[in-house]
Amino acid sequence: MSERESARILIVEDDPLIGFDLAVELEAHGFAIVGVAPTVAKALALFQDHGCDVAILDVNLGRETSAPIARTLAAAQVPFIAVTGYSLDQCPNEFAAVPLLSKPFQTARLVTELRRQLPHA
Amino acid sequence: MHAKPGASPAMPATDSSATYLAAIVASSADAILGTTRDGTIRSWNAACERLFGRAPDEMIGQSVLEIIPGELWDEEQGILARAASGAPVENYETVRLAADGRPIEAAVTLSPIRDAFGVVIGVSSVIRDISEKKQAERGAAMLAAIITSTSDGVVSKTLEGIVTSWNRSAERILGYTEADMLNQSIRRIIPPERQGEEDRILATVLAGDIIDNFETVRIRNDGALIHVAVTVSPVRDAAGRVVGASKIVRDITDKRQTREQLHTLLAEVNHRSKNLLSLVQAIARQMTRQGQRLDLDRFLERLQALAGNQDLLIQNDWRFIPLRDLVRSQLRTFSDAIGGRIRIEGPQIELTPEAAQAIGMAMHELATNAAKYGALANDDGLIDIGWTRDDGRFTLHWIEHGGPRIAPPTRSGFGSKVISDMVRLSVDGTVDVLFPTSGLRWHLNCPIERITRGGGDVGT
Repeated sequence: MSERESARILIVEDDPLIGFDLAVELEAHGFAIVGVAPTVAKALALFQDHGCDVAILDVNLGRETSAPIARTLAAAQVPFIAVTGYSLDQCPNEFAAVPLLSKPFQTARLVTELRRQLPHA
Repeated sequence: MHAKPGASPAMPATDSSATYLAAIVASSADAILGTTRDGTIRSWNAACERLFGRAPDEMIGQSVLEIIPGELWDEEQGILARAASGAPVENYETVRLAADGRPIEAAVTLSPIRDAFGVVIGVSSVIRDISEKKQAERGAAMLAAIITSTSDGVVSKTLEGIVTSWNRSAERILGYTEADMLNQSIRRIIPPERQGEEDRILATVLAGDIIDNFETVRIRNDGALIHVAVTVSPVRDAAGRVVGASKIVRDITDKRQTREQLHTLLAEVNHRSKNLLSLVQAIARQMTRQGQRLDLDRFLERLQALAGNQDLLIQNDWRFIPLRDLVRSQLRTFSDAIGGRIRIEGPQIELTPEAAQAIGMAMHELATNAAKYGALANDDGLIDIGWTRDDGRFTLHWIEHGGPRIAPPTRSGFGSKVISDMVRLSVDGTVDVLFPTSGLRWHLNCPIERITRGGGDVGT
């Protein structure tokens, strides 16, 4: 397994089943999962404690959006990918210049996008 | 008024002023009649004949009351007496009767007729038909009443944009009174950055065109910006020249809000439906992990459970789902047993859509499991479902008794994932699942604010 495929990934997704499924899928593709966070607070805490190489952000987290996480990641120069059921123009500005996958998506597309975002890819 | 040329006699052959005057009276377009002091008709000109439809020989010698409605006789006698006493009565508006009984709205001027000694010997009446004028006045009054009472702001202005009328709804919508705005420029209600609009509006109107329902923003007298739709039409004079503009202003704040709400709702529908498709994708993938064949019946049952949640959500305007309704919905296959073998007890709690999805799926999996292996797999088993809300915590339990003896499952499938990790993560709580031989015991415990928007005090 190559160096980059054990990259550490933070998943932010408020639906636990979707988050769990995503984690299982990515582990099967050789990625390491830092954690699945359903809220901004949990995501920021996970990032603080463990960091990550790349993050996957569900834009809408029910009662909040993941915009604050996007700002923190951008400030730390950590790449991230947005996944959402919204169309691009419905997303906060923080996601304007970010790769966006529209739900539902195939794992292969996500994996391609993750590899593109990783350093030394 | 002019006499019709044909009705006009030739210039009198004699220079007698009496004959000359008689000719003028005879040819006048106004009906002129003379009476004695007591109202007996002595003369009746051609215009009288035309107006009343009665010939002179029919009328001369008759009382003037013949052409007056009965209810006005008293009034007429008073006026006649006043004229007979030497005081003229000018242009009083009253009603006269035509030969066929049709009322004629008329302006009447009564003048005393004096003899050479200045003694009043009779009264002359000049009667002008003002029916058309009155009709026009009534029409104008009707239009004015419509404009006053309409809920749209109606404003007129000159081609320079100077306000010439301002109705009550314009006051209500824009805050300025009629007195504030009359003779003032309409530009007062136009925001600085939109002044160009007024130039275009005036140019359009001047060209004779209408601006139909143009949505824009205007300033109220309190400085607030309001959304309005304006319709501006040219106002023409009798010769067809555009001399001004009429403007109808409609407050569309409500309409815009409705449109924005609709837009937000559609975005929400977009988000939720795609999320639901992701969820379906995740369920299918998790049910087929490690090369398992998809159990299509179970898959479809799970989709039905999700669809049931959606129905409840829509019933409550997509805001919440009452927990009791959720539990009953997920147990609908066993609805005959509810209240009997299945007991449901707990306070009213309005779940957020997210919590309802997780708890609803857990209820569905528990019910399916109970029917296959648990308390609903024989004829005697009981299920207690109950929830509490205390000190900011929410607890929910599902306790089975009296079913077939059970043992802990040997492997963890998708269903057990749903009733444990999924619901636990979703509501940020703890889940305990126990398998004593008497029956499955499932407990959920989480912060109340994770499952309901209203915090701890909703719907007590």
